[in-house]
Amino acid sequence: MKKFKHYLVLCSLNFFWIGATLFADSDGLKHIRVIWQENPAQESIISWTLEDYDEKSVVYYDDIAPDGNQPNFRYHSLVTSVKKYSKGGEYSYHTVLKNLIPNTTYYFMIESGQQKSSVFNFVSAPNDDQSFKLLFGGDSRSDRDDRQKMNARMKELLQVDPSIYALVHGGDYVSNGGSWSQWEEWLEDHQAIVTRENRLLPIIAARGNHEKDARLFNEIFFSPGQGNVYYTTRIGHLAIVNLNTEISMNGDQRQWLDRTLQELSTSASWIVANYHRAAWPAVKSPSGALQHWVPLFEKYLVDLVFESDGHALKKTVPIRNKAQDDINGIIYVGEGGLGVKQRKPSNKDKWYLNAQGAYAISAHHVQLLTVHPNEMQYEVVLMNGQTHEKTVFYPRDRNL
Amino acid sequence: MHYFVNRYAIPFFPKKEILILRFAIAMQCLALGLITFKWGTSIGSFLFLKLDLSDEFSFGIERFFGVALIFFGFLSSIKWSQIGLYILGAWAFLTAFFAIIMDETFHSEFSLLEESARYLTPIVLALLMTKHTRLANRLITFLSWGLATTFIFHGISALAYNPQFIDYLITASQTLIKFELAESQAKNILIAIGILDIFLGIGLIFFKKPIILKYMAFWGIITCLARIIYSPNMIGIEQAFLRSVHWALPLVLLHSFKHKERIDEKV
Repeated sequence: MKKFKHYLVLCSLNFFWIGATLFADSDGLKHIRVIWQENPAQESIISWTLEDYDEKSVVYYDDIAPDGNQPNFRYHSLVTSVKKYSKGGEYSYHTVLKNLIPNTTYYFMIESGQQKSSVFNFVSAPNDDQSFKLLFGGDSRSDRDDRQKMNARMKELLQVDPSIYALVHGGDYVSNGGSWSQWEEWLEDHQAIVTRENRLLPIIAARGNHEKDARLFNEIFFSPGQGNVYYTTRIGHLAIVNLNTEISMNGDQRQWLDRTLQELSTSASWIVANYHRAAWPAVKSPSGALQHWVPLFEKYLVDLVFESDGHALKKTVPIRNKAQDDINGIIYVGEGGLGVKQRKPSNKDKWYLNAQGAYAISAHHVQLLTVHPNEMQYEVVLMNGQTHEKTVFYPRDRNL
Repeated sequence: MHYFVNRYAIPFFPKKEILILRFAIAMQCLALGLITFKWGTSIGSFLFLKLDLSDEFSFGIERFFGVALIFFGFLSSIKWSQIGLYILGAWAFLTAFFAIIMDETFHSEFSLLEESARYLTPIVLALLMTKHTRLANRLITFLSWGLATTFIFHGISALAYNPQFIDYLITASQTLIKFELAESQAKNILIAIGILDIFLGIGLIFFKKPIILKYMAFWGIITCLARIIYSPNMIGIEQAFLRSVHWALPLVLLHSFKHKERIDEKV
């Protein structure tokens, strides 16, 4: 028994390293955000945080710009979900706005806990041949100053280019996904991406390894993909396949991916994938995505793959069957530059980065994807606003 | 009774088994060295992200220790090196420790417990190599606790449906028997594996039955092979080698306990 006590003491020492979560003070209606999941042309989720519980909270909205200090809205939607965050003591509110008109500016105001928000707006996603732009990026953790600089860059991009519709995030929002104080800071920083006209940037979320405690992630982003965080976002002719590298990659998710890509290969002009841990990394070792997902990407000819996690800026050569294939290969880009300190990757031993057109460098960045019916442009915008590169994609012949 | 290997006495460790352990330690050392050199570890991430050191410096330190571990890995296959064992043990301990700090992988908060066999084995062996072996009994008991802890916390990880374990089972099923194991089936199997691991770990602490150690050696080999089946390339081999003590240590403990019993009977 004495031995067992010693053993328990040794085990318990390890638990001291499991840090206690900091509880933050709350102050009113905050963290207002727009979340997109599967059908953003017709559905958007308006989410916020409040100290109090108010199941009668309402989102008022309209596609006509309100005027004056007493705005009148033609529509309203009662709150869909109010739950206490698993950490922090405040409440997470989500209201799903349904039956929206595609490609339309919606103005909304939240009334919750006897408080009213300012009037914000967002543009619902197009569902036709309309050209549009999306921002892609990952790894906004660890360095708040640089995250705020990158958010300021995105705010500037949104301000000058109204054809940007949303941010697709590749995961690792914060260092410790179980820490409410870190999420609070992230949510405050994200809400700062707002134009002078109060336009918000909707977010499409994937899960990173630092959100391994998925409870807060799901509470903040309204459990995308029924909480499994693999789901498809359809915007016009583009399908964004968001995948989750933090759960089994070879089980239900791979089967879902197979079925989904098969369906998309006939129904979507453009298919891009977005997930966290890289199959073709500039830094670190390849994730299980290489083994379980890349064969499916190649089978169904995915157009472009966004990866995160490595803390670098990379673009691979077009890859197919683990070799360069300039015709049917897939380019993998990323790899996480929305604020986290950037690494200096060595490309010498990586054939897929060590060839003409490919690169891996150290640079904070956000990626800009412009989608037209017959062309897709990929650009990288650095923290200082410079465009790093531009690649043009043309529709693939998927009848191979 | 002492068995002499390269002039060092290691009490209760018979020669044949100590050679097995030496082989396993050499493989672990090589694998950890290669992983550290090629991919980096939680130590480099800590230096880079938490201490804000440059990437070159952080990765440079890792490369230095990676080369040192590879060197000691080769050396260990020829003769024991006490300093090599301490470096291996310390580096394995630090990677587990900083994995908790960096919090990057599934259940990394348990890494010091899950990986206890990996760092305790070289450290305890190095301590046993000193002339003062009066503590040998306690050290070997401590080592068996380390093994038990590794099993218990791998069991807990299995019960928590470690996604990597799910994928090992599904991939092994696809590769070996061409059967598409459903994720729900893999989870059910993990429950059985997890419960068994926990019971055996606790059993080792209290009973030290040979059957427990025999099963642990068998399961240690199976889990190493699972890594190679899952990734039939250098990464899989590195991951399998890294866990060599998981099968070698039970074998050695099995024989060391038998020897101790014989000695006790004679006394």
